Amino acid sequence: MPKKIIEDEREVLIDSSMTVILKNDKINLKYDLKDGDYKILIYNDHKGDLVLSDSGQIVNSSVQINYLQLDACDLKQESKVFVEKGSSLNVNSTYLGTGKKDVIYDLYNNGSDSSIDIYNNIVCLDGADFSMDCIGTIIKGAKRSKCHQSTHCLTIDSPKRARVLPVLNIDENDVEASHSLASGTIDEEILFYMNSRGLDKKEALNLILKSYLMPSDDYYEAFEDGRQIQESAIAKVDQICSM
Amino acid sequence: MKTLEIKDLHVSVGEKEILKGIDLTVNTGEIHAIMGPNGNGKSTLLSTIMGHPAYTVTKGSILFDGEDVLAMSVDERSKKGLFLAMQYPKEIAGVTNSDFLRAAINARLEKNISLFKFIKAMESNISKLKMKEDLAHRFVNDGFSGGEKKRNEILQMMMLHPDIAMLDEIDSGLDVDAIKLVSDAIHDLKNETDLGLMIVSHYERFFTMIKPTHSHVIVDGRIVVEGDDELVYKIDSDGYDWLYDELKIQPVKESRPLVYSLGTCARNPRGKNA
Repeated sequence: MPKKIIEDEREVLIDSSMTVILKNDKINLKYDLKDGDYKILIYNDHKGDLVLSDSGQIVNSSVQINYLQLDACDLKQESKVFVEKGSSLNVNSTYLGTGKKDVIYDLYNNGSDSSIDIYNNIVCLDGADFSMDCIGTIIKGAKRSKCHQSTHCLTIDSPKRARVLPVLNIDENDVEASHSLASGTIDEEILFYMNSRGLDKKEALNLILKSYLMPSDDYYEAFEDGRQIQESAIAKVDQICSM
Repeated sequence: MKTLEIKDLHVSVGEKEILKGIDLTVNTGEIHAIMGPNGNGKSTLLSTIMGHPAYTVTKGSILFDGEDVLAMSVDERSKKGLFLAMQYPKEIAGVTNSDFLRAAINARLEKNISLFKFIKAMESNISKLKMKEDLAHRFVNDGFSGGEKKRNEILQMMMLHPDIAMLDEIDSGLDVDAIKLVSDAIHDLKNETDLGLMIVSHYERFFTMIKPTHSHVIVDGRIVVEGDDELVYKIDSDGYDWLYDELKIQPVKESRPLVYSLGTCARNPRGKNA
């Protein structure tokens, strides 16, 4: 599986399985995924603020797109993907929220028998300003399509804002659609339990956040240089927890 | 030898005073049985020593090895050598036992424990407690049976090597064989490390195995009688009524949360409550 490190380019075409490492401040990703099974990992390793726009089409394919965003910087992300007849899209997104983050997912069941599953894991730390619009649209004619979205949002201390808006626009009968959103903070009793074993608040949070945010070892192994990305992701959580 | 010294301890939850002047001294190497009817302050005492934020100390002092425990954060108390095995251990989904315990051990060491040494200690203690081999990779207490949770508390105690361990009804939820295993493990640790223990239990069986050196009965937030292991056996055979008669005291009746009926919000077509 190829790895693409984006440092200078503004526009990048994604037409195969790929590990995409973002190291630029403004990036457009264009999907052109046809006739296959694809796995894509988009890992933000840019040290500053980022404007990410990704869009495209999935035709006769099964696609998994994973977003991993664990930086303290600001982020503006707009993702617009059309899932055509008989195709499927599985989105797994992970955000560790500090700074200002505005995220919009605008995903379309654009043909019959298409399927979209979205899983969002979000942690908003003290002072974070996080906003996500997660919009699934089943267009007229996309019969027997499925669109499901599930979001977990954990808030720590006092974020400025932790806003998640799940939206389903359904313009067809004979479809399946659902959304769920769970939001809350860490149970004080769990924190006491961890403190009582000698872990201070930062150490306890570090363990909890890693369990909440970090995908499994298997997840990383599927990607080029997955281990390195895993180590980098762990270091980012460590760094944010030590702040 | 280290000493935990509690003097004239008064503790409240909200407006309600639970502990009304506890005096107690526990040295390492000693085993103190804490008994008393439900809802009279036993668990409050242990939780307060550990620093549970729900309890407010309104008067009195707790010193450990000469240092003011009340001025310490919860994690500092743990690092100083206090340990609380909880009556209802919390579940931490997503955090494995091994990650949790390694982090807890490393938090009290200047140099992190080597992976090899940690795994060896973990495997040895899991084996002593006859727990499942995959325990290290399971999430902390998540999906554990009541007995497994209690044994996991003892496993943590064995890994963290406290000076004074407080066990809050650790025997509840354990079957006869598990009680024996746990008491053997406690004795082994005590022999190795001169552990001091404060044990809350309602059952003579556990105390018979543990053999307390001291015993105390808490009624209405005060220690009303003290003795040795003979007191445990007397209470097991005679209950607490003789104490109430002799000392002319009454226990606090265990309070249960009141259940209020909100009725129904449904309305009939004429606008009256259904």
